[in-house]
Amino acid sequence: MKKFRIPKSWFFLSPMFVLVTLFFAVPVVITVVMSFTDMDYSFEWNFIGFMNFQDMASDFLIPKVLLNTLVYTFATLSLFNVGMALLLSLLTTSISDRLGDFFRSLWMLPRLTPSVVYGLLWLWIFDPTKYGLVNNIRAWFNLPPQDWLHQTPMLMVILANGFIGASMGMLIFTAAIKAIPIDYYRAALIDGASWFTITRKITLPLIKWQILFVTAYQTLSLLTSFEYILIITDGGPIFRTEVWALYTYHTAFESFRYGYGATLSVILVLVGIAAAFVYLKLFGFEALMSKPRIEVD
Amino acid sequence: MPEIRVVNFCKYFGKVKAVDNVSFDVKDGEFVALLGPSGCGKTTTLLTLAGIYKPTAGEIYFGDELVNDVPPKYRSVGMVFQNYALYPHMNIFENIAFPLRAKKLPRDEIEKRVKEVARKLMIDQLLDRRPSQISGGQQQRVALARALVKEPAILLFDEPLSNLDAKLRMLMRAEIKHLQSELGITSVYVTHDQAEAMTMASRIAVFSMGKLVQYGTPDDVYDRPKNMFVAAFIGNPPMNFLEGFTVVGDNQKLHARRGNIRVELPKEARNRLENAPRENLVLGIRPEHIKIHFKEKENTIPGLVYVLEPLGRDLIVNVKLEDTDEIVKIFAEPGVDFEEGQKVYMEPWVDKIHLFDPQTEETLL
Repeated sequence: MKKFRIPKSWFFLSPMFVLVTLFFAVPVVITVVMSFTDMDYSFEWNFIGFMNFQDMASDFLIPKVLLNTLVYTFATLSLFNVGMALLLSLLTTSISDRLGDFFRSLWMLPRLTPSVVYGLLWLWIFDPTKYGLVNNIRAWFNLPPQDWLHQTPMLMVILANGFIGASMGMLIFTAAIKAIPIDYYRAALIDGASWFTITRKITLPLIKWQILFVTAYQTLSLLTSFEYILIITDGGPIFRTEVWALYTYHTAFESFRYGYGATLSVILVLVGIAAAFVYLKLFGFEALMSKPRIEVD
Repeated sequence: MPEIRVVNFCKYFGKVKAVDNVSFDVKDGEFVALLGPSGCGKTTTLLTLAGIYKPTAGEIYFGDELVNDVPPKYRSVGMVFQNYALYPHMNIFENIAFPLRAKKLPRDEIEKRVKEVARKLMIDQLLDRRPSQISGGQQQRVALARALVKEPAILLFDEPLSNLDAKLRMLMRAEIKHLQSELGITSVYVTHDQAEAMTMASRIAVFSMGKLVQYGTPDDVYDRPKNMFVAAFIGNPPMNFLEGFTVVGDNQKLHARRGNIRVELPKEARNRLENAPRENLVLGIRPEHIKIHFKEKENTIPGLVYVLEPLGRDLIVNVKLEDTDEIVKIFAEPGVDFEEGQKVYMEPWVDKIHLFDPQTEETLL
């Protein structure tokens, strides 16, 4: 009789498998299960069916939070994480390598700063008193100090996230642009194409896959990230910057409504999955992966 | 009036002298090859003609116009790249149309000209394919079509055939030569393949280490190489070199001698060698300029048949010299049988013998 043997590869895969299960799969399952309970600070698994989902429909904050999330994600993504990232990589690859490296390093600096310090720096820059950096500069021109965080809180949140978020796209786009064979550019130059034409007709189409990746990845990370908002405005003033992830956090860890909080995050996961599928369709993922039809003559 | 004039052209990258004081001209409608090993400066020269690089020093003229600072788009050049540089995300039609779109020609004019050039190069059935969906030979034609479609005054080729297999390379070699002479476009062709340069070009510029070593017709560089580098680089198999010869002689004849070996030198040697060094010279003779004898004879070099290389039409006999172990390659006359280990006597054609100064590597004879 042949003895059943576990393939060796399973053994080598097991540490990763355990980690993924423990820290990704299990929490998702627990969250989904928890979303059907009204668990609060007493930590009791009290199943209430779809009550949480019904509550969400009547939650007067949801439309506000939804709109905030949409504005925050779309604006940060298009203006900074993809838009500014593209602009930076296109510009810094069009100048000399040394100058390009210098500007890219400058944009990388926030990544080296601890999140809390980075958040506090923004608080200092836009401090409503004359000691804030921006108001200090305004004072040179005899302009009165402004309370930026109350007047335009969403803009502050978008700026803070965008300035740090653009560097990831910038790195990936720069690497992609530098990987494009230089002869494409030489051929285009000889054929009389301008910088703008070359960018539009050659560079952008050739880094389409990287743009898709950064867009998809950054959408998901913006939907779920809230640490800078927590530090800078804490969702305020009066919910003007309360985004979905932050609302989830507030519900679960300030109001101690774990069940309802879990429901909110389940919705976020579903939205994220839907967004990923839309992107893949939009960028023609199948066409990107299609096999060439080579014939030999 | 020459179409292209390169005058004292230098291109440095930092401290590296990629091209150092090179001058040559290309006549209107001429096909010139820049030949040399990799890193010799030939591609740098070509890219400077295209306007991608600017000269560090010197001048480049197209006709009467100094073009040193003219950007590529105003130079009316078409270029074919080694890797073809076809845009992978565009179909063949769009690839060929790219230079015309950049010129903002009307739509129907673009269509007409693309189809015309595609028909000429026999790729008109591929216009809706992507570059990844056609073969290397077809890609080569598309690259050529893209260079030709804008009807350039000058065509530049950067090793266009080196990515093709040997058979296709021979085919395209003849086709490019035919196309060039038919269209009469002034062409500069960079290659490291001496066979390409010899077969296609009317003149060859041999480059070495950033310098132009010799510029002349294929016959010039083949029969009258300026130094040992050119002599060794051109010809396949290359010229045979034998070291350590001394020129001796009386009023009648000059000979090159090494030990017991004595080889007769041509009449003009007397004048050419008048002020030249006479000792420790290198004797050079091409494989097809040696006659093999089986009996001892005057003015021959004895040796043993080392190995035979039959090529079908030709036979290359490798002969090893007994005293120095030097190997001499010879194209043998057809119909003669050889055996390995056989003793033979090699007689160089008198008027095809070269002598080189090993110090300067310059040609003396």
